[in-house]
Amino acid sequence: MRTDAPRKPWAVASIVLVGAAVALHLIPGAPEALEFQRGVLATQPWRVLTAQVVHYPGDHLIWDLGMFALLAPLLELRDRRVFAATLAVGALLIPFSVLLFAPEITTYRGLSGIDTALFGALAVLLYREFRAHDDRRGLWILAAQVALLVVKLTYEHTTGNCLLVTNEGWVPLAGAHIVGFLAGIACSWAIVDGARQGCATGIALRSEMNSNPAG
Amino acid sequence: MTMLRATLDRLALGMILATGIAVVGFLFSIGTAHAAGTLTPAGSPDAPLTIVDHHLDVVVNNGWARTEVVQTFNNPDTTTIEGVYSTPVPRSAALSEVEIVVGERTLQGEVVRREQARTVYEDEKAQGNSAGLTEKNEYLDYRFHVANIAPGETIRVKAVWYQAMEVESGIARYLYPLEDGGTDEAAKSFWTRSEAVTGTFSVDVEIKSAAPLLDLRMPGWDSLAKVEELGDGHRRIHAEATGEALDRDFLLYYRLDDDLPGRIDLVAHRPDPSKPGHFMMVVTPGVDLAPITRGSDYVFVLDISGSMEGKLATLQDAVVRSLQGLTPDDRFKVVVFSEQARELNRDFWNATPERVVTMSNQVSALQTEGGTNLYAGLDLGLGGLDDDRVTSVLLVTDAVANQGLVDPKEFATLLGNVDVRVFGFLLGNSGNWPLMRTIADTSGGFSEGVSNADDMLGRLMLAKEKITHESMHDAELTVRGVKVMDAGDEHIGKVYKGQQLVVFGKYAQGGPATVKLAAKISGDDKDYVTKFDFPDVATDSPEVERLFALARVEDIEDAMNNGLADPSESNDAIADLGVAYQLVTDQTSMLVLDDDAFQRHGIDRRNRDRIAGERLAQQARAALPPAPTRVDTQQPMFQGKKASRIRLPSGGGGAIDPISLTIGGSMAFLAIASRRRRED
Repeated sequence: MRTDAPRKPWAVASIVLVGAAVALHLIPGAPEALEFQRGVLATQPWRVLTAQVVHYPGDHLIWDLGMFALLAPLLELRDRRVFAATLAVGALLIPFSVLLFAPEITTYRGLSGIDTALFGALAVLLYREFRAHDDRRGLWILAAQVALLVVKLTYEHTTGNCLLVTNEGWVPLAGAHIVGFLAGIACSWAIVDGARQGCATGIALRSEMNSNPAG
Repeated sequence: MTMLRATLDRLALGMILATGIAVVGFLFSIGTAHAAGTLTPAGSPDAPLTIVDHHLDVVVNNGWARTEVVQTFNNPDTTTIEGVYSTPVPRSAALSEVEIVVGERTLQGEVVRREQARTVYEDEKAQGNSAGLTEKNEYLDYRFHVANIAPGETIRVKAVWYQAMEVESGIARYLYPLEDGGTDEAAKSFWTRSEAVTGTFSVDVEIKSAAPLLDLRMPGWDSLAKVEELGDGHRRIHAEATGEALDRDFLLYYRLDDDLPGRIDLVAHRPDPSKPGHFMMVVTPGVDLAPITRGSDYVFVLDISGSMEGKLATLQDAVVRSLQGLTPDDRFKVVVFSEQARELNRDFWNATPERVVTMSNQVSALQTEGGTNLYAGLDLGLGGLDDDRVTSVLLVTDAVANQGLVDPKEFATLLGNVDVRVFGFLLGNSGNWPLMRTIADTSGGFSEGVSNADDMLGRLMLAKEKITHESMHDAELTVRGVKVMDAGDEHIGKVYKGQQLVVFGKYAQGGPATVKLAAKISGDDKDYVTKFDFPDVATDSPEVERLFALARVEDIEDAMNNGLADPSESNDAIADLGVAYQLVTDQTSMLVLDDDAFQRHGIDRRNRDRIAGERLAQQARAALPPAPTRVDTQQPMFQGKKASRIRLPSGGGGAIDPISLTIGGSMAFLAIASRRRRED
């Protein structure tokens, strides 16, 4: 049966990434084969990207994927351009920051850097939206959420400890999460700002269409 | 508005799909590991005993742990049966108490010689009486037998053991082994195992430490556990689940304050001033040991025999990570063995990135096969060494040697002829600890147990710290001023970075003592000295007596394995210690009867009296905050040096935790709510 109603968007990329992360976690040897390994990056450079969809045993996948499953579909449906740019830039910047600034780190896995990038990108979109509608209450709540995350990242970066999840098996790389957070903010800001000023042709219109497909 | 609802619907659907995939994935990821459980003879018409519930209660008190396991079993059959429960032997554990409650009656355990216990148990069983027997099956398992369980009857079995805690570089590790090590071939063919708990599986842990605690971690249990912080060094943890199978180990790590100084702790027990007291002395060296900067040679000797099935992935992960940790100045060789040994690379390779990748791929492709000729593997690994380079052998095995030479004395002789250190990693439960100790001790290396539930990377990094730093050589720990007995050899040999020295002994009388740790560091002689008093009377820690006896039993076993003691005399000495201190050993068993039966068989109630004393002390301690045990505060043994802290390299994760998720969730909620308001 056909209707005239416009087709509703799906958070396809988010669902695919969630499925991929779970599947790779279950395939024996896959996390080891795809993780970031400092010693083999010269011959297997793809590990820079694939490292972010594989996880260590235990709770690592649950928390990382939980955050991703919360934020990724929201951002994807709200603005696909920002979502794509955040994933691409974050996925490159995060491992390269590990490579350059954390020489003691031999291996790296996890979506957590991307999670904080998504958080940063969504925060910018919400900030723009609240400003546009002069929504002070929304701004205050948003500011509190961002402040909480910043305090938490600062604590972890300063102390080298996590607040709740202990890190017997890996160093909590708060630096990677800070890089992700900043990358998300920068991508979101640049794309939305560029669109508003007409620098990126059609982005604003498409963003608006993406976020309001019925309209 | 309609559009918003449709979008939310899709979001919800997306989330449900993702969650569904995750749940299905985790269900599939649950392994098929064997476990602790009840045993029924293969082919027997009897229904297996049902495990109704399983409660683990652990108290960690300043250096040692008391583990109490209470289980309820039910006989679902229509006939009277003998129940048999098997559980892996925890490393260096003193099984001290077994109690069985049958209806209104309570049976209690007394340790007697193994043969006597078996005879009395069979006699009681034949007469149709309720009785229990707990035997230690070498390093393989503890086996609990309960005779004459009536149809439909429910029984409750309690077991208690004591262990000294493993603390390394300030990280303490407690293991409650459940996963079957797969090393007992005879048992596999004779018994069928039932491991499911139909009701509740709960874990309660209380940690009382005089030093502040920083972190806790329970891999696989973190999300279930509720942690109560009762003080800087005091935590209470509770976790429970229903419908669990007893197939994965419970592991607890906790990290002590990074700023703890090197120190010496003493726990003593001497209730009667006219008799010798017992003590546990823990020396935590606060000494900076330099990293070894010159290239070294590493020989990986890997067990790929059939008993390693289920542990091979852990082995491969460990080896690949270890290879990645080498520098191009290091060289490595890999030897694998099952019934025969072979080299994966004939000559030493420099650990260049390309060579590391090549070898990692070879190691990852290994499959288990055949029996275990450990001697052949070690022998091949020790061939072709370069005398001009420092060589370390990393032996990864369950040490269940069943092919070729299997006598520990042969291993001691083999290692006595070469100048290498062997670092042994015993994978899984029910591994051959006595043999591994012989191999590591003879070569001046160390040995560690690794559970499949372990944080492999963390364990490797701790081991790497020890292997890649200089050690204290020719170390000797002496006590003067107080007469100390049965404390083992004063000559310790090597002390590795982060390692604690734990010494058990007896002392004749209290008074001032001078304790000196003398060692060579980078060729220089160093002495670390302190003075403190051994107490004349101390009644707080009667459990130290059992830990002392266990340490003596292990010393005797090691001497016997190394060919330094007569087996017959050694077995007698172990039996005497087991009965005197009421420990289940290979030569002694726990007989569980009621008062009348003990009287009938003329068995003294030594354990009843010992347990009564321990109960009193435990009740007194429970009401108090963690007691400080450091004794060198007046004259610190290690001047101004801090205990080393290890940062465990790697990355990923950690920062996303319940707090981050809550913040992220609240932002998601804010985004959805604001969109809804705009639509309205």
